Amino acid sequence: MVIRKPLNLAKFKVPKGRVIVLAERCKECGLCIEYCPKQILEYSEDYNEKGFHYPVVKAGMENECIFCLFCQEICPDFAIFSEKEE
Amino acid sequence: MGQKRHPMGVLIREDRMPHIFCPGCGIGATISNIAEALLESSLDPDKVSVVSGIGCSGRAAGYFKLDGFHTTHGRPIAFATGLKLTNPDLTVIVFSGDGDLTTIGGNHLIHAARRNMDMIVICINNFNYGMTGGQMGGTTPTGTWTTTSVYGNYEMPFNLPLLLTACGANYVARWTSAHSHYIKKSFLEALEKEGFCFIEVISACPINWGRRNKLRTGKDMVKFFLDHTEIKENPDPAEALIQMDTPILCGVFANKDKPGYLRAMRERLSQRVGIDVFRGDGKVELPETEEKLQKTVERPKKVEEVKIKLAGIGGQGIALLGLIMGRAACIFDGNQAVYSQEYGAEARGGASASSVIISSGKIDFPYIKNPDVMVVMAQGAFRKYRKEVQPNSILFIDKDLVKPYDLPEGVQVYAVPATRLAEQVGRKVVANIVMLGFISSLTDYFSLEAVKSALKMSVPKGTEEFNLKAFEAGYTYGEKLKRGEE
Amino acid sequence: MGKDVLTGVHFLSGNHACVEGAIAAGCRFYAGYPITPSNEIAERMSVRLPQVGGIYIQMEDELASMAALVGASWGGAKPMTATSGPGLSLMQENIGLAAMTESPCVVVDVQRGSPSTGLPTLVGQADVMQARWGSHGDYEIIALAPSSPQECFDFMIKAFNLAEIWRVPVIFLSDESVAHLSERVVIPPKEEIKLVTRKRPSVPPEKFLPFKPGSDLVPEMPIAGEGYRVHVTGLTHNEKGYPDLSAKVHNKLVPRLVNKIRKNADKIVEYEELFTEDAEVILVTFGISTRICRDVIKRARAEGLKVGLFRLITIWPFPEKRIMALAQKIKAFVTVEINLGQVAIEMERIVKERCKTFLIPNAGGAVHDPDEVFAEVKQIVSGLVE
Repeated sequence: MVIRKPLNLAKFKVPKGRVIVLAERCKECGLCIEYCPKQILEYSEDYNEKGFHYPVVKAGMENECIFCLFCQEICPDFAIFSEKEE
Repeated sequence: MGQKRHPMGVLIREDRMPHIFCPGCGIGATISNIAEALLESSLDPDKVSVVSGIGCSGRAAGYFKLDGFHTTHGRPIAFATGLKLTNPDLTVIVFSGDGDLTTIGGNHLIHAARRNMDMIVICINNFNYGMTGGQMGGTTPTGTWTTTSVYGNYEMPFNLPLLLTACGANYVARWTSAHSHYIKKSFLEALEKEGFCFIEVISACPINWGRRNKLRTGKDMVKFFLDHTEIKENPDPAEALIQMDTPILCGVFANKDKPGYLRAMRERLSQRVGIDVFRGDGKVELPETEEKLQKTVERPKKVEEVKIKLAGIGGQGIALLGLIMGRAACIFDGNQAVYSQEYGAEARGGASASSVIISSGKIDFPYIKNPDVMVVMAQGAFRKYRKEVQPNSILFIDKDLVKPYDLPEGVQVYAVPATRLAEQVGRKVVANIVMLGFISSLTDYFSLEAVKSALKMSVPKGTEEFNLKAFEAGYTYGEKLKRGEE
Repeated sequence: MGKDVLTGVHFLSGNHACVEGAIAAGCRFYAGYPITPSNEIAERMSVRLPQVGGIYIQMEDELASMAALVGASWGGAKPMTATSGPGLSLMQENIGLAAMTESPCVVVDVQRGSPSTGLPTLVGQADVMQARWGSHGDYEIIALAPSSPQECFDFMIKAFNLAEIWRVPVIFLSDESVAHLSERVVIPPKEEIKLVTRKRPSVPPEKFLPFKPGSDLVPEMPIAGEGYRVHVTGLTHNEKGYPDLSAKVHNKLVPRLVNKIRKNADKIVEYEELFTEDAEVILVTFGISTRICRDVIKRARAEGLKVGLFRLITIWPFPEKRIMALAQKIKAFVTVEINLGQVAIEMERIVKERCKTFLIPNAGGAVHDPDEVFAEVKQIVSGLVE
């Protein structure tokens, strides 16, 4: 019989990331906004040069990125990525 | 603040961004996933080549910062085959679309899979021809709408996992463009394998396909993929047909370890030719071999131009007879000779002829209109070619098999029971060699030494003595004939 | 066997001599699809290439064969294939790719009676125009035509060298007749065979522009795996190799592809002349027909007729300058070819009113009968006198 020990959550640290958007590459497909597990992204008010609204981090959620890289992997345009914060 | 660099920037041509793909298109994400996997692998990017065909996905080769080849429509697999076999040290990735790889290039796809050619093929399947405006193709699901199936598609699409598995690919997987992690994982698995690895990526094409099938945006399409796929362990490729009312089956359909093309080739060839490395760029060290030069004859034998026509039926070795004469004159007597065979599908089985012209000088017109000498080994051949026998020419025949008639004036006939003598020597098949000995005795077109040397080099190894015996039989018969003994 | 250069005296068919010429020239990659009357080339290649560590691969069709050649070329091979008319038609797509991407390669076309399936086992010379512009668009290639097995050997070496120097597909216009004649072929010692390889990058990757031409209009060629990470495309591309779909770039690239052959034609063109110094009538011919014409000229000279021979070794580029010069001083050119006037039409274009032009055509299936050609030449000569 396998006895599962309860996780000691205190020992695990959720990684932190910082979202970077290369606005001029964005084509407003919205996949990053839709699939961000922490829902920290929203469309910009501004347009980029091609007239697209690009993702921006919601005000006050700058420290909420958990560096899961979902946005980076799902982005078809190499327009968003996350950098790990130490 | 300078612009931050995307982590894939080392493998992506950022100077070409933004790329041409539409908003929400799945190709870019797949390129990103493959680039990420390449970064995770230990491969030297200088040794990785990407080959694409034509179409949206065909542009992929231009976005990887690798050696990238954007080829013709349907042919990237064939191009990649040439590249890989020329330099087997390269990792060759074919990245192209469904129309390119499976429809116009379908023949190359199935044959590369059958050969288990060492390469990884990423097949973006977006159900339509996106670049040209969204026409239907060989992968368009039945009942869906495109610009050339405006009443709904009534054809069946390919079941690619089933097709590729049946053709013999070592590795076959299918994911959708929403499955980044699986694409990466499959690609890394494929990198470890030899042979043909095929990864189908069902990809979002919201602008050209989705728009006409109630999936207007990239978001709609990704949601559709996530809701309508079923990922299985060891899925059955027979169940992988894509239909709009059942989930799209994803997973790894084949994962075998049959030898790839290169290994199979090496295993078959090395022992037989004594070389271990085979590659098209010539970077192979050849083992030393003994010099066996056939030098130019210093004092060629003088001979007047003679035109010899040889005729017989299939299996009599008429072609070989001509070849030996040519070799004797050319290689061993230092003369010129032209040998040609009557050439045509209809020649098989029936009567056929070949001709040899021997001369000390240059021979311009290489064919024979008026033979000086005819050699006829069978009655059927005589019937077919008898009108070519010229007045005052020489005719050599097999005494038992050819009964000449209606000959023009002045023809000198020399007859030898070539087939019978051959049987006495041991095998009927050497009747041609008996004839050769006979001709050698009665003519001076080539020297005796020359014709014997040519004979030895022209017959199968181990049969030289036997053939020389047949030659002697014919030669002796000729000598006796000259002395009036036959 | 087991050697790359089979130095010595041989008795070889034209097709077999092509193989030995190719291997002596450094060819180690062959991709092809069986077609009569070229098969002996594939067969001998399948024996010989493994012996020298090369690759023989039988592809699924000619489209694939030609595509594989272009891939092999960028992998660093001197690649070749062999085919006949119907196969050459299928290869055109990727001959265009080779021209656009400047990929050295050699395509042997053993011409047979055509069009369509035509006469698979019998001679023709009607692929002259297809060799030049069989693929779509403006481009130039080089085409050579041998008249004997010895020339098959010698010209194959020439063909590979020209492909490497000018970075074009070279079409080797053999024919069924030359392919199946066996004759004396002397293969020289390896050290006497002069080989050329393509210009290689002279600067490191970060400074390199893969499609920037030199003064000869030919760019330096990197090969895959060397770290240059080039992008090669059949799309109109700039010097960096990137697609640039503009009229401006197109009008720079395509004229260069054409001019690297046209402007360098003097360095490429080869021909052979016989009795042209005093000739009044010159027979113009190539390939197997050369031998028929030589026979005719011997007879003509024996009868005191001032007939000469101008034989094309390179059909493309066409020896325009020399033909124009000869046209000034003779009465007529007579083109002898196994087609209905493909070289003849080029002759008319060049010669214009300088002298008369005639054609002795032959749709194919057999070479010209020398008796008939001689009779026609005599008629032409006598017509000119009146």
